[in-house]
Amino acid sequence: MSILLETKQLNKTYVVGKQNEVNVLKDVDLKIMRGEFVSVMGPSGSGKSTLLYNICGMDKMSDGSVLFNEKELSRLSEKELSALRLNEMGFIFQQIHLLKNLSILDNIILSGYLAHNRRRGAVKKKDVEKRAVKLMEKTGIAELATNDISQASGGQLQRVGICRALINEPDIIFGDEPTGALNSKSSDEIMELLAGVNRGGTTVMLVTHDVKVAAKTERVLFMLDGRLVAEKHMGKYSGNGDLKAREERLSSWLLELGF
Amino acid sequence: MIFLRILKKDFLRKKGIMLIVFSFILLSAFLMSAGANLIVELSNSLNALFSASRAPHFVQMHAGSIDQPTLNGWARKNKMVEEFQLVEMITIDGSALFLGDSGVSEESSVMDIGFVSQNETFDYLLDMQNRPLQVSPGEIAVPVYYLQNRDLQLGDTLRVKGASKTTSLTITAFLRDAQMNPSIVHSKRFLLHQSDYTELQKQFTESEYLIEFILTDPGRIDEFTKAYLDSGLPKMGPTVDSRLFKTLNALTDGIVAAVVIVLSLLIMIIALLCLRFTILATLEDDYREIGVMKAVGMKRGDIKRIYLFKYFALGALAALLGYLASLSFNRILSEDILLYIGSAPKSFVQHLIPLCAAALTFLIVLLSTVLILRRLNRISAVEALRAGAGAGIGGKASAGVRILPLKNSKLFNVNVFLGMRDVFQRFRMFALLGFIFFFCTFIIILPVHFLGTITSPSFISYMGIGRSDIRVDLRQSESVAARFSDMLEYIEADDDVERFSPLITSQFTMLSDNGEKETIAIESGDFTLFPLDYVKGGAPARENEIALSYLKAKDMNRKIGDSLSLMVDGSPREMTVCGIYQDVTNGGRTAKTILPYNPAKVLWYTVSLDLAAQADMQAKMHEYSDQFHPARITDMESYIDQTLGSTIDQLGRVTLVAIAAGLVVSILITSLFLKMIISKDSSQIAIMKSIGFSLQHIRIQYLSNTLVLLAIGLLLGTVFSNTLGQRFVSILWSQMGASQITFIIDPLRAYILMPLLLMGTVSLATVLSISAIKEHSIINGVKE
Ligand SMILES: Nc1ncnc2c1ncn2[C@@H]1O[C@H](COP(=O)(O)OP(=O)(O)OP(=O)(O)O)[C@@H](O)[C@H]1O
Ligand SMILES: [Mg+2]
Repeated sequence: MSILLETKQLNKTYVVGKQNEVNVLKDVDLKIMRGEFVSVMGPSGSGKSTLLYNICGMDKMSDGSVLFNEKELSRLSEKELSALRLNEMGFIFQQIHLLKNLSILDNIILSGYLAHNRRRGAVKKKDVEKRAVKLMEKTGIAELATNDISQASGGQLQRVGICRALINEPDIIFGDEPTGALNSKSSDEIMELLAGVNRGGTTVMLVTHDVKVAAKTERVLFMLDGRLVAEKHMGKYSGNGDLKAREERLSSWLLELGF
Repeated sequence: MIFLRILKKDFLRKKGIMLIVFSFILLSAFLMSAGANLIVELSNSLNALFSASRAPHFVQMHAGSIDQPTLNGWARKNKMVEEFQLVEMITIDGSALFLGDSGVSEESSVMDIGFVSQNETFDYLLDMQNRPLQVSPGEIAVPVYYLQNRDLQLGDTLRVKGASKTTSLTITAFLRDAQMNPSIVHSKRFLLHQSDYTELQKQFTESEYLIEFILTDPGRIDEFTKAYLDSGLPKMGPTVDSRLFKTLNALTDGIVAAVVIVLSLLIMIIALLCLRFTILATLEDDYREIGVMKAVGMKRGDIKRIYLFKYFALGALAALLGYLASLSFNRILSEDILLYIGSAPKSFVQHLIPLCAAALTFLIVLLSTVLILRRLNRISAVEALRAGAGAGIGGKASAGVRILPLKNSKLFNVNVFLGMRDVFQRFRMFALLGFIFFFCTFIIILPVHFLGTITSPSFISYMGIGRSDIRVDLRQSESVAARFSDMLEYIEADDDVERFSPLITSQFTMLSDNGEKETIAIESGDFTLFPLDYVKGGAPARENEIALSYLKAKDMNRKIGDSLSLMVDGSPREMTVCGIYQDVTNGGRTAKTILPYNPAKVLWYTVSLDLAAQADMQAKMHEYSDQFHPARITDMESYIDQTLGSTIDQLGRVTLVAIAAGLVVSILITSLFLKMIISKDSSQIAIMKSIGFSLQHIRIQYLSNTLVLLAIGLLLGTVFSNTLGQRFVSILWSQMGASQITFIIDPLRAYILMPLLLMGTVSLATVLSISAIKEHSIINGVKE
């Protein structure tokens, strides 16, 4: 298996006020392999979100390096970074962040229209629409296509978010607590979807507080005060009933870490 | 205190737009009071000039012999006459007159030059202090027209080349002439000492008389005019009266004053739009707060008072500063008035008028604020508190999501599509910017059109003259008829002349409705060769047809198809009005027929001609002026230039200011508007950036926003200028004798250059404003 993403000595400092500097990420070394399903846990304020936004190029790292698909992020221009996020990455957020002036379908196909598809060359509108419909069917929101985003529930909207993230068939999907605002039933459904996506070969990396969510991932990273302090390989989750056992294993590990 | 907190917050939060609203109110008050001042100054100075010079109420020009005792007797017997005087004027041909050291004669000038000595009891020629002017022997006073147009200085010499010798005179003064000041009047009087006058009379035998009257009752000018013209007294020349002098004197500066006031109204509208926008944006932001205030029991009136107070202060300060600024600017604007007409002390009330104009601006601002604030009534406490951040006064942000699904876009420009779609979705908000673009276009295009029209060679048709390459004018003088026929013969034989048309203006007697006799100047000839633009109807084609100038038709209350009775060869003849045309020359009251002219009463002769393609215009003009001396030869362009030159100059300056104003306003408002909208859209922008939109993509979206609006604004502004704007200019112009003006449009300038200029500035302003979207805003927008 090849490396998709690798950070070396990744540091992030924020300047607060006039002189104060806060070192939020401290020498983070991280490798993510193609096809992996990774989650990041840790106390609030430990730097999980910051890590996520720095390795996808939305935020500018202060020091160190991030290699993604053999490209060094710090060397890319704003335009190249945008293109990278558009074509090779997908994002899902806790607050979902859909564009409120577009219908649900349009939210999904927008990135598709904008992209230069690496796999098929020039974008064809028809192809994008076909993919969008397929994704919506798979996630069970096909009948909502022409709705306003105000006319759907939170769980449904997060599915829209997933469809949008997948429309350009990215190498990786990042999620910052994608289930954080959902009830447990919706949360389970979203995780099933993401597990399915991962089985299809797409790498997934989530930040979460929820042991039930993390238990479905393959590898759990633990962050404390800006450092990656531990990790646990859980093995692939095949979805057949051993979930309880995985959750217990994970909980006791976290307990050992004092969480 | 919640009041003050809101006030302070509001001022700080909206510094930029507050400043803009403030400066627009200031600018509007400034222009308003400057325009008002210009009008006050103009009428005040004009009255002062007329009373200082004791301008005559009625003047008959006459080129021919005169019988003074008969005139004296008639004047003594007529009860309407207060004073009478006969002024003799030596007419000097332009080719004999040299101003300054240039060595170039006044040959190509359209002006009729007359030398006079100072009058004894009225119609004084004045110095620059508006005092009757006295010159010593060897000295001469020159009309201000030449001061402005020939770059003369006191002490320069003036030479007149007579038959036997050249006389040199020193220019010791510039003079104001209530009758003949403005450039649109094609006669100019120079003032000499009596001894020089007598001396020159020996060499220049041609003279013209001004038969001048002051009436006991200036209100009876019309009655007197009729009495004089019916009296059989000398009248070989134009008849003019004090009303015409006043109109002509006021014309140039009057147009500028009107343009300034219109400009101020437009800017006021912009100020009000911005004001409305600011207030609504404030209310939207304060929506919840207002709800809270209402919920805790504050009365609607109290809340309103907070806002009213703010705009009251803002408006009052801006209007006051605008007024004060206009005080120092007035001199520049009334420069021309001061030169031509002179200044006069203003009364207290006259000083007050510009202040009132500024106060009016303030009142309008206040009234609009009150009207806009009525929206406060619509906010209910419960609604405001329940509504989320997205909801506001302008309705739900997501309204109209379903219009224009993305499917309709072309792939290569999804961003252009999104930008345009946004305009339709949030139309109410974007309408403001559209409005501003509309006004900017209007402010720019209207003066450009007007200037283009007035400088265009075809503008000649508004002056009552058909368009031709060259025009030859021969005034009444000795053996003029013989000279005229020689001239025609010469022109006929000239191969360089493609076509020509002789026109002779002579006087006829007309029987008015109540059977009285009235004299009318009628141009006879073939009017098909060099056609005029007729407002209604067309050129006379039959002998019983007559075309009237717009003012004449109005005076006589005649429409197309009406008839009037003209004395031809001693017997009355019924003529049918066949056309009405515009004429700004000769007081605007003329007529045209194809009847043979009245040989006993010819006023002047003209020939219009077009040259063949190979002919050299300049050479031909020289040839003719040598050959046809003392006829005046003018080409159309210089005819317009000399007549309307100073109006054109002033209008040119106004146009430049208007273009600058339009561009500055468009830049300012575009930047402000975008700044506001970007801060409003910041979360949406962050989302777009997070999913892979680059800055460039987002820039294209906003650029399409503004350019779509600009396109709408340009289109509407142009249509509006070409219709209502044209009507407005026509109304101004009708004061001069032209009833309607059709813009002669220079498409390159008006439809390509100006729109490109606006597009350039708006794009620049947009791109610069968007650069405010910084990289880090993604995280702030996306992260909770
Ligand atoms: N723009 C910023 N400026 C200064 N400090 C910041 C900024 N953004 C984040 N921080 C700080 O960085 C630290 C890490 O923040 P981060 O959001 O990554 O934590 P987190 O692990 O995602 O927490 P949570 O679980 O609550 O989401 C926090 O202490 C936070 O205060
Ligand atoms: Mg976080």
